[in-house]
Amino acid sequence: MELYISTIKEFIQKGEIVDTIIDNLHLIHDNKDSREYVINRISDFLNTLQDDLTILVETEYVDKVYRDSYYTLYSTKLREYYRNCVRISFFTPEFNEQTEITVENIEKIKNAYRGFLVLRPLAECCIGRNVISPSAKNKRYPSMRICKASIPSTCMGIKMRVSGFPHSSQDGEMMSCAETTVWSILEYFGNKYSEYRPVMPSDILAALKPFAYERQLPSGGLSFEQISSALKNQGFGCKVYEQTNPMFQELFTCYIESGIPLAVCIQTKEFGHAVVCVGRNETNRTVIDSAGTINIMGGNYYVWNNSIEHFIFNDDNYPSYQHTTFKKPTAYYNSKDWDSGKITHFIVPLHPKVYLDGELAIKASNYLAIRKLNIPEMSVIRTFLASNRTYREYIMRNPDMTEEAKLVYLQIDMPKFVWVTEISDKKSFLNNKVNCLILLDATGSNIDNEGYSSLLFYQKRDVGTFFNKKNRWFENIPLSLPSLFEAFNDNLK
Amino acid sequence: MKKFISFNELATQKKVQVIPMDSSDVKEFNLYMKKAARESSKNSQRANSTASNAYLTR
Repeated sequence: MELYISTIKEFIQKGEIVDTIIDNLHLIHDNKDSREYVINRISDFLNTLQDDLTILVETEYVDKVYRDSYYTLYSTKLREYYRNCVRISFFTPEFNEQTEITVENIEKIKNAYRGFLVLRPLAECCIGRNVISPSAKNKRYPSMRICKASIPSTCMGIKMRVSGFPHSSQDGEMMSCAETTVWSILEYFGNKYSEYRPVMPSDILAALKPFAYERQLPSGGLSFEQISSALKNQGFGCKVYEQTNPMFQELFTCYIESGIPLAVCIQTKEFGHAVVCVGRNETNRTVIDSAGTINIMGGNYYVWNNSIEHFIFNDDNYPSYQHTTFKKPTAYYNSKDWDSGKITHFIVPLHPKVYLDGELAIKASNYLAIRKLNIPEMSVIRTFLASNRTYREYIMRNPDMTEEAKLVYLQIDMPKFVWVTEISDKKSFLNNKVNCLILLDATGSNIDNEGYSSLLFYQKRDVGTFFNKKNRWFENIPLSLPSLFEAFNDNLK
Repeated sequence: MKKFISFNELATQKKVQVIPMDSSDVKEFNLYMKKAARESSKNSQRANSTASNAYLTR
């Protein structure tokens, strides 16, 4: 293995580092045009990053994902594909050619780390596994709020972590866009939660074997149903939504606000494509004005989940974190072929114990807000799913809650996930504050014809409504709870 | 050992009036949720039947 240090700028300006990388990739064909093609692919990726970033190039890198594809497919071919990859690690300029690799500098190097990119020895599809911190993207990218997992890696013997969403380009034979979508979602959850595990491409093939009526290799893509089956096979309780659902975009936003990455099906006139929606643009709360109000049960209300139009997608044909709108999900292709692309379905990889889905949670909380809490018209409603742990931490750290109030909230019985509806008057909403709160039990359900079985708690001004286990009914208790407190913003980072 | 005060104990300590939540809308809420669940099932059926036709290759 050899190590080289350079900068993105040097690569873009076709410096010495370019030939070093291409030579060490050991592509199956070596000619001027093949090299140029690969250089352009890498340049397209690097051009999305800040050009003053330092790059550390590591040759003969063993990438677990490519190695799995290699032994499943590429090693079985007559032409000799190379087993190893090249890895590029990215650092802020604080780490540069002059930085000495000493124990004293370990923390400095760790702090400068912004992610990595594995280059596969495949000309057409050289962009392999990568995780990039959004802060490394250049000014053409907006500020974003996305689902982030802390992904471990090592570089020069230093254990590093990068916070971002896993991405890879498809290799076309082992993984199409559909398998890449499944892989990246599982890579995200597997690195973030102990209940899940990251999977290799061959695991995805094995999981889908019972559903395949045709050979699986080379991959000809998957149906959206098969993507859902592959995710279900890894322990998710998937929910699929389709474009004719009247709440389609509202639900899409609601799940993104819940910090859940979505497998998204895009159909053009000619073909289908799968991408992952990983978050949204940083959005000013005044956006509710442009979206306007919506009539719910006879009254007009602002709905945050109907106000968001700009989302961040990981598309395996492009570098990570492409920003576009819900209505034009393929706008960044700037191509006639892709112009007609629209979102027709999305899959939500829910925790298997989330029985109450977004559609019913929104409807139940709307009923409670309007009929029980009698919220005034023109209020702003914001519904999302939160884990018990994250929500309790938010309560614990809330600057507007007294110690007494925090103890009250913290002792409400909650399952692993809760549906939260924050209701604010417009002025409070713009100041990131909440006036009324509804908590629903995500393990609840309406199947037993007990609408109230999902209700955990609601609060109007300083009065809380709690479930009394002894009486098996709810009680309104005026406990001087805060009537204006900071909103929850911890699902997207 | 110290037990943190619960909301019920706090209500007793503060001598506030605890009122059972009005249950007059139980039937209305159940019907509302039943209707919502029926609509959700229809949406699910449509989503599942069309998901097999969406073939993703690019």
